[in-house]
Amino acid sequence: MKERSWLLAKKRGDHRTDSRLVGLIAEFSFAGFCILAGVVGLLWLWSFYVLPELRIHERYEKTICELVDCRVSPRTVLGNRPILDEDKDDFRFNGDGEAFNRTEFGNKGNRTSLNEEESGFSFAEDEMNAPDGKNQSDGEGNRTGKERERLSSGKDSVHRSVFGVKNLTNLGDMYYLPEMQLKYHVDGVERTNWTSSFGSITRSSRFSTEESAKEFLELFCIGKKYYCLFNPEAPDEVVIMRGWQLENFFALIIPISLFFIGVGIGIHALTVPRLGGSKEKTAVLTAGRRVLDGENVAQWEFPNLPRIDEITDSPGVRLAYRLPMIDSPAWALCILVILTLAWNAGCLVFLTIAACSFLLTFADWMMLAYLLPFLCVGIWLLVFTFTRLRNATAVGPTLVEIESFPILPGKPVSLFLSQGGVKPLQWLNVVLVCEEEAVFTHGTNTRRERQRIYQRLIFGEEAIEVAPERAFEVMFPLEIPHGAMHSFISPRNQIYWRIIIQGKLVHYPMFERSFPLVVYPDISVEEEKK
Amino acid sequence: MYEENPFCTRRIKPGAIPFYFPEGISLQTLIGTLRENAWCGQIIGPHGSGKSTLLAALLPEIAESGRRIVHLELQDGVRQLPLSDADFLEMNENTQLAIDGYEQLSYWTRRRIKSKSAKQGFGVIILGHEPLEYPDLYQTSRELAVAKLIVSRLLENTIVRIPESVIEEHFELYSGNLREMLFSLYDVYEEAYRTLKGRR
Amino acid sequence: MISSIIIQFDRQPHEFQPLETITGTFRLVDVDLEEVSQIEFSTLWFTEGKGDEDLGIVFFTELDRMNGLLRKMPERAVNEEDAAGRMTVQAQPEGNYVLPNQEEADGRSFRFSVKLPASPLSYLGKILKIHWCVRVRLFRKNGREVKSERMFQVGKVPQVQVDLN
Repeated sequence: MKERSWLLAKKRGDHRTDSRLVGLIAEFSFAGFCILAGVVGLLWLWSFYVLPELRIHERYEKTICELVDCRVSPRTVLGNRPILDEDKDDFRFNGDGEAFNRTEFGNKGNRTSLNEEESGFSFAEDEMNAPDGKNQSDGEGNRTGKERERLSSGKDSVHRSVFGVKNLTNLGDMYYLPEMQLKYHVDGVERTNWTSSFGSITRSSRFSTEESAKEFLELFCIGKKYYCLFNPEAPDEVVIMRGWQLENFFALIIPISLFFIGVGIGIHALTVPRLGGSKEKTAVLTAGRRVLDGENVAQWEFPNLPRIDEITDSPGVRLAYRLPMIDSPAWALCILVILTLAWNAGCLVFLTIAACSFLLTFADWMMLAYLLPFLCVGIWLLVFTFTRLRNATAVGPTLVEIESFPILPGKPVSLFLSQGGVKPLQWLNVVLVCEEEAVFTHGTNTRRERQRIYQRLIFGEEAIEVAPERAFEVMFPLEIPHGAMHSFISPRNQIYWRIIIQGKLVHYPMFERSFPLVVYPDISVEEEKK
Repeated sequence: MYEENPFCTRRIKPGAIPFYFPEGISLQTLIGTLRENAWCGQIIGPHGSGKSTLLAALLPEIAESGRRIVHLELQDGVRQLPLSDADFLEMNENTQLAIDGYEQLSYWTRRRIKSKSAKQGFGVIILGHEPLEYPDLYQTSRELAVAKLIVSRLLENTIVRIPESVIEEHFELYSGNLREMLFSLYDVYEEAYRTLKGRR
Repeated sequence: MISSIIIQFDRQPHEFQPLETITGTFRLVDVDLEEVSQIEFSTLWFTEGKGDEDLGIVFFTELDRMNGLLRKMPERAVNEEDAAGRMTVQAQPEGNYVLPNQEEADGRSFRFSVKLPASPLSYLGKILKIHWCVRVRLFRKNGREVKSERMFQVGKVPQVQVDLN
C-alpha cells in the first residue's frame, strides 16, 4: 500500500492534533499564503504585463513605418548578448553559429498590412537599452561604441561564439529574439530603430529555437509599410502596432482569485471554529451570518419571505406595479421553434439528396427507409409547434398590475387585469390560490409535493369581447383573508400565494397564466395593540 | 399541546427508523459477513424496501469496529464519483466506502472503484436494485408485516390509531414501497389527528 | 441520576407576537457543574412535514468557563438598598442575552431574553408546519450531551383548513 510521509498526509482521525489553536494557526497560515501570493502576483502582473499594455495604448502615438531589416539575436536568460564580431554588423546566425544572409528574411513573407490585425506581439522592454536605461542606438540602427565595448569586453565569456563563428555555447538558457528595423518619421525627422516587439511584454516574446524566431519574422516583408507606435517622449522607442493583448488582463484572474481564496479561508476559520458542532450552531455559522451574543436578528426586517424587488422594480401603467408572469411560455416556444426548424432543415437536406439520387442515379431505397422515421418526427414537430404557437398567439398578452406591494392579510388592494387577443373569450376567471410545497431528498430520490390549501374565485366573466386594438380591461379588489399565513420560503419548503388567470377561447384549449403575490405578516396590528 | 406528525420526514428518513431483521439475522451477522468478504458487499432490493435504512443502521456498527466511513449519496443523474485522486489515496484497509446510488455510475467509474479497492484494500458497500459486481450482503424486500410493525412503532405515543386495513390498502397502493406508503400515511394521520382534536 | 434541563417562559400560555421579546428561565437539574464543558442556547424556528427539515436560528449563544458565565454573576444595576442593606437590582439588561439567574444564586439557573423577528409566524399547514422553540444543549466533558427544548407560538395563524372554493 502506498504510504505518504506524515508531513504530506491529511490530518484526520488519529493524526489530528485535537488542538483548535494548531488548526487555526494552520488555516490562517494557508490563508495568509494565498493572500500574499495573490497580492504579490497581482502587483507583478500589473507592473510587468498590464501597466505596460495600458501605457502602450495610452501614451504611444501611431505612425506608419517601413520595415527595413530583420534579424534574430541570441540571448541568455540574463539578457547578456553574445560577443559580436566587430567586423560584422549583421547579427544573424543559425543554430550552428553560421552566419546567414539577411535577405533570407523579408522575401518570403507575404503579409502586408496597415491594419492592426497583424497582432500577436507586444512591445518589449527596450532590450536595446544599456543598464543605465539609455538607448544604445544612434538613431541609425548602429550600435554605439559603448555597447560594442561592453559586448566585446569579454564579460560574457561563456559566449565564445560570434556571429559567423560556428561554436556557440550558452548558459543553458539561450533564447532567440526576433528584431525588426523600422524607418519612420517623427516631426519631420526620419528615424531608424531596431525593435523587438512580440508576444507578451518581456519574456514570452522570446523563442526557444532560432527556427521559430525566423518563422515569426517571415510573416513580414522588408520594404513594406506597417503601423507602428512610438513613445513621443523618447521617439526612438518604437513597437509594431498590434491590438490589445487581452491575455495580460485575464491573467489577473489568477492572483485575484488567490487573494479572495485566502480571504475566504480566513473568514471561514474565524466563523466556523469548531467542526461537528450542534445543528443549531452549524446552521448559524454556515448560513453566512453570525448570530452573536446580543445581536438582534429582528433587524433583518422580514426573514424567510420572498424578495419583492423583482416586482417593485417593475412599474405599472394603471397601478403602481406590474406583476411578472411565472413560467412564461415564450422561451419554451422559442426553443421549440428552433428545434423544429433545425430538425426539418436536416431532414430536407437528406430528402433532397435522396430525391436527387432517385432522379439522377439509382433508387436508394435504403436511404429512404432510414429517413422515414426522421421525417415522421419532423412532421410531428411541425404540427406540435404550430398548434402551440397558434394557441399562444391566439391568446394575447395578459397584464396584471397591483396597487401596492407587499400585501397584508385582511387589507384589500386593487388589481388591474388586461387581457389581449384576437378572438373573443368564452370565459375568464381570476383565482387566488395559496399552496404549500415541500421537497424531500435522499440519495437519488427527490420528492417534491405541492398541496393547495386555499382557492377562491375573485373575478369571473363570460362572453368577453376582445379585439387586437381593444384588450379586455377590468379593475377589482383583492383581499387575502384575515389571519392567513404569509408567504414563506426556505431551502426545501415554501408557502406561496398566486393569482391565476384562466380563460378559454372558442375552439382552443383552456389557458392558464400565473402571477406571484407576496404576502407579509401584519405586524402593525400587534404593534398598535401594544 | 401539539403533537408532531410521526410520519414527517424527520421521523421516517433513513436512520430515524430502525431496520427490522427477520429471525436469525442481525447487524452483527452482517458485520461478520462483511469481514469475510474483505468488507465488501452489496445491499440489493426494490425502491423503498429499506436499503438506505439498513445502511444507516450498519454504518455506526462498522465505525465502532474502528473503520473510517466514507458515505456517498449520489444525486439523481450523477455519473461521476465526487472523490478526487487525493481522496482515494487517503483510503486504506481501515476505510469503508459506502455508495448509495452506485448503479448510476458509469462503467469506467465502477471499474476504477473496484480496482482501487483491490489495490488499496478499502471496503466497499453499495446499494442497488439488482446484483452487481460485489458479494451479496443483504437482500431487502417489501414486507407487509414489517410495514405494519413500523407504523405501529411510529404511532406508539400518539392519540391516533390507523387501522390495519388502511395500512394494507396503502401498502398495496404503492406496491410495497415503504417510503411512499409512509408519506401517504402522513396525510391520513393529519386528517385523523385534526378530526380527533376537533372533537375534543 | 438523570440530568435534565427545565425551560420555562415568564408568560403563560406560550404565545407571542412578532417583534416581541420572549423571556424566561432554564434550570439544570441533577447536573454536576464540574462536568459541564459548555451550554448552548438557541431560539429558532424549524419546519416539519413532508419536506426535509429547514431551520432558522434567531439567537444563539454559548456559555462556557471561558467567559465565566457558569460561575460568575453579572454586574448588577444597583439602585437602592433594602432594609438589610443589600443591594437590589432595579432593571433587567436589554437586548438578547442569557445570564445567570440572579434570583437563584446556585449557578444552575439562567435567564434568557430574546427579541423575535417579524417572520416567520408559527404555522400548522397540511404538508408543512413551522414551529418555534427555545433549545438548550448541555455538553459534558465526557462528550455526552443533554438536550431540552420548549416550543412556543408566534402569531395567531389558525390551523389550516383546506378551502378550495
